[in-house]
Amino acid sequence: MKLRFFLAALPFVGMYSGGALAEHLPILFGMPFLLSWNLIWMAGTAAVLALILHLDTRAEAMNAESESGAQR
Amino acid sequence: MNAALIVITLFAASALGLGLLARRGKKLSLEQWAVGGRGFGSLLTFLLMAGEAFSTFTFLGASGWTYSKGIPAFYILSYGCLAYVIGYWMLPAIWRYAKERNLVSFADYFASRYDSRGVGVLVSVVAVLAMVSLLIIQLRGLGVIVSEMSYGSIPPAAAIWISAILMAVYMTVSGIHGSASIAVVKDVLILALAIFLGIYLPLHYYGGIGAMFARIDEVHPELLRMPEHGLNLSWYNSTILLTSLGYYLYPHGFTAVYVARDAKVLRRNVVMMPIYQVLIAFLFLVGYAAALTVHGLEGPQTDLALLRLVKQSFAPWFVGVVGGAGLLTALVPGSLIMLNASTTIARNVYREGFARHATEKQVARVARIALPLFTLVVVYFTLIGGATFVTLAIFASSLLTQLVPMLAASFLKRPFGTREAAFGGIGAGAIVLVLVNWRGVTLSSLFPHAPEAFTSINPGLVALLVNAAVFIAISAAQRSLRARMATPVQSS
Repeated sequence: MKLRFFLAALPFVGMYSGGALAEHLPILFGMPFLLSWNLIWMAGTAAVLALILHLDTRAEAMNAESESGAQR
Repeated sequence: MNAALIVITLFAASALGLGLLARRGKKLSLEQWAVGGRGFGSLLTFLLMAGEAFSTFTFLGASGWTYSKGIPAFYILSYGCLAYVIGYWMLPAIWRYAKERNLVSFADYFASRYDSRGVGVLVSVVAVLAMVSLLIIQLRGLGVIVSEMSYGSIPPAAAIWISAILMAVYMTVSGIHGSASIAVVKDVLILALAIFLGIYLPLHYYGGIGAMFARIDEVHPELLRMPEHGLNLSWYNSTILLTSLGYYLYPHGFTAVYVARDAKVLRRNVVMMPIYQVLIAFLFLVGYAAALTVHGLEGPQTDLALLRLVKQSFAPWFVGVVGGAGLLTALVPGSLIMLNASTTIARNVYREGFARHATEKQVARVARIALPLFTLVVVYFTLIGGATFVTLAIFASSLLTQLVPMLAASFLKRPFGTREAAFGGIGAGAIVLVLVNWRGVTLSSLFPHAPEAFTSINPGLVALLVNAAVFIAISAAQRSLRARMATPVQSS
């Protein structure tokens, strides 16, 4: 559970650090820093959420298994 | 008759056809009409949620803001992603609760959670007024798009009338199925167009994306820097927080959650939603491409940047395609707003207020009568005005975000928020917003010596914080009071 909340915090840290970082590095990959940065974190958010979904699905499958095991 | 006009007309006719055909093979009870019998799979739920999130504001606003303001516009790309992280846990919780209690409207949720008709009435009034202003925005955007892209041959008023009638007809007949089937076409089209325009226009005018930014840096370097005053870093960060917290509090977006078949569908969707946001990045590129190629747009006109650049760069038939896509971009959220306003009027105003024993069938009939009437009223205010009422409606839409503390407290395992606290909190937030909007009170006028990083915070966020503080204080006070009153009874 703790791992999931740690993962969920990452996009917030990423998106909020962008503005401050942009003051020092105006351009990244030929685009304004904040545009590239936000795009990277957009993909990062999707990846983080996919990972959390994977963890949840696995945990639920294990729960279901142990429950059906207990019934037997 | 020009090619663009023909293409736009074809789009409008196909939208009507698709919307009407969506009815086929379905018996429409209120639940089926309003929330698709809660049977929508991943794809349709995704499209409806995306349809709500990507409206004419995204289409015209994202490029227009970049054109006129530059960097601060990037907040539009950030807040959605953060909202989806919150949504991963929040949406399944809302869905389960709504399913258990057969909730249909936005206000149903709050009335049921706080077990209070008063809360239901408060939320319905705010929601219906807010939906008036949201629909006005969609209709105005639509009028602008269609008249621009038909080279002025369809005036905005005619475009608004025609499309409002189209929407009212297919929505009354097919309900949410009408929005859903049009959303499929709209999303494929808008995604393809945004990617194409975002790559082609910088390439065509500047020779590449990197070259475009190098050129802008020479001519308009201010568009590539975060401003130090006004829309500065603190404004940017506070706006992301405010908009991501308020993301799901649009009535038509909130009820798009109800249509899902199961909670898994919603979780899978929020994983996909951030990727879909890439669309916005391409619209930013279009806005930047317009910065040095489209001249003379100022004030609210800057929203025309994308349309003007397209007209300047392509043949009429393609201009028509963009106009048609813009039309669909307004139709999907517009029709969802109508649907939600009419179910709210029928369930929360008619049944709760006037006919407590009305059957589902009667409520469904009222909803289907309310839809065209609501549309007519909104078209009236869009075209003829009524400045006071429109201001009130816009104010109501800014109040929607003030429901955040109530919504957040509804997920707590141990009930905490009370209805008195809900009223108090929203009242306090509303007072702050009134002071900001009509009395010219700002953080810098209250704290003249405070640093600008503090005074540039978005006033909406300040209102929300005041609201949350009042909400928590009243709830906590009531709780300790109740605990104190309960103790002597137990001890005796």
